[in-house]
Amino acid sequence: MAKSITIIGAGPAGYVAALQAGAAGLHVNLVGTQDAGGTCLQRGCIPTKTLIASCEILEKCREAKQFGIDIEGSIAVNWASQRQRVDKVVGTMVGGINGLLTQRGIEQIPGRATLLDARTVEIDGTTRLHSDTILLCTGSLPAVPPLFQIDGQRIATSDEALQWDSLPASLVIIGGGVIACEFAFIFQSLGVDVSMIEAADRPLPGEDKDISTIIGREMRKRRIRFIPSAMVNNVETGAAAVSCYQDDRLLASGERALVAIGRRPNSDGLNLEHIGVQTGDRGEILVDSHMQTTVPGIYAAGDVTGQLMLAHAASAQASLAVRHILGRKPAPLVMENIPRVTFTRPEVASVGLCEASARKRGIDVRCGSFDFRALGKAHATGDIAGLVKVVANADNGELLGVHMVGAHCAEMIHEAAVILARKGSVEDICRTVHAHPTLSEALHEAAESVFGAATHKPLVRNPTQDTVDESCNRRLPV
Amino acid sequence: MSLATEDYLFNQGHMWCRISADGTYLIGISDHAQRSLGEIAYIELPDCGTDVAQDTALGVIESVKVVNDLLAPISGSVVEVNEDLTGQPTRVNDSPYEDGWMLRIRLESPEELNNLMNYSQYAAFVG
Repeated sequence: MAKSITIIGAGPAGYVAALQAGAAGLHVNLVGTQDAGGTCLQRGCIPTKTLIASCEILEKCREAKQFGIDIEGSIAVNWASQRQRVDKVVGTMVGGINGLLTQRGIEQIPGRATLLDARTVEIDGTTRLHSDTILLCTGSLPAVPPLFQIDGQRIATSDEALQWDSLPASLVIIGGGVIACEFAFIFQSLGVDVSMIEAADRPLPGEDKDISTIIGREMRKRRIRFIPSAMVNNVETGAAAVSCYQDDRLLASGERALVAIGRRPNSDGLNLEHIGVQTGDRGEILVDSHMQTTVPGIYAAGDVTGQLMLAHAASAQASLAVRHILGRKPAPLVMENIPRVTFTRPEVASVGLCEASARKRGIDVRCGSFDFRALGKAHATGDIAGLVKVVANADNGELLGVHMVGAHCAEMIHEAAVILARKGSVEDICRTVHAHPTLSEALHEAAESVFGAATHKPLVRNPTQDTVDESCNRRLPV
Repeated sequence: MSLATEDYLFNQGHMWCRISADGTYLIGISDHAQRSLGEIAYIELPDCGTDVAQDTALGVIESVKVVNDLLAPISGSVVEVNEDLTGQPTRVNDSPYEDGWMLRIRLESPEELNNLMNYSQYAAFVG
């Protein structure tokens, strides 16, 4: 069995692998070019969530009057202070990870790694490390087509946007996925006039269509302009504006542009081809169900494998790889059962199959849904925009997927994730008493509405309708 | 309580249409619908120039209680949108048949009017 491991990259895959391998008694070399935490902690999940926390307070202040709170004077955005708070939060978390690594006796080795063979890693062309196994966790980088000349100011990726010294008056976001949408809501909340250009016909095209529809509507309420089904093929950067065109058609222009069309695996410079580690078209490292590459003893985990590019997926893959290295015969991950969360306002969360994917697999599907605005808790807190949709197998009630949009969804989705992991049914949700008043009651009611009537929902006149997805066919009350 | 006259024609989706002097049709939702919905929070309507089709969704109305599709009472092209509703959606609650109109539509197929109910028939329909 392996006694030592060299881990390249200290993001949510690499540092989690290091902690788990260290706890299991392996000798760990943790090599990285940046502080622990990776993109997630330095330039992704945590900085954006910190900014979103500021946006939420800002919006609560603006809505205070509705809650019987009179605020005197103006409410102003202080971008510099928000960025300072981001640095403080990130610093705290980096310190926490460093403390855990130190406590396990794991030394972080700064530098750029190159593989010489299946046992040897060279750091910055000088130091050589030998170990029984190697785990590649080098993450991903923003994908930028050559059309966009990133200068970090007028045209930026999410990496640079978080470092901006000031907020633009207007912003064009190219992309409509998770990162693009989160930034759209952040900047709109801070007073920036935001336009988005997306190739698909809806925002968050990876989510269930009903969820995208609601996020699209929430964007329109906030006057975020969403330009669907459009591809930028010409960019003009003038003195006052960055203008994005499709042929001769001006799609949108703004003081600055943010390119957020996705991320690409970061596998360059590892010398993979020389030692036989195969990569795919996007540079993603190909792995088997236990995260082992095409070279035995070399594993990969996280964004560099090009699968679900989410921090918690990376950590789960890394944990799987370590357990396999330790000979514990772990069960492979079911990627679709990993929850996906997007911190728009309101939040989006999903796990399992969406309605369209389930139907594509030939499953006889039944769906149920429930609006947040029928919940007392949602009215109490003023968070009435939202929906929970449950996708189930019509034959046996097996839960196939749950899709949510609404306040605190990112916290609520895990109930569904547990049931999916245990191959449970909508009946399991129905039989579980949900506390009142909570937003989680929406999941209970949505589950009830799959095969029967949700308690707090008007009865549908034609209960034999096959579509059952009432959210797609909601007529005015009769 | 708001009352419609026999000028108003209704579909089963609780939307009305009424001919204007210039031959275009105003459309909106019924008093029964606005009372059922409760306080209206947001209305999403199509832009001018959009074609809408009878009994298909032309937009969405959100009240504090529910979210519903708006089903077009007639087919045609949108020639005017009631912009006042953007900031004041509760105008529909206050005046569903007058100030709370939603769209002005150029009717495409006059025979479609035969599919609609007059006010007396609609009053009987909603009981």
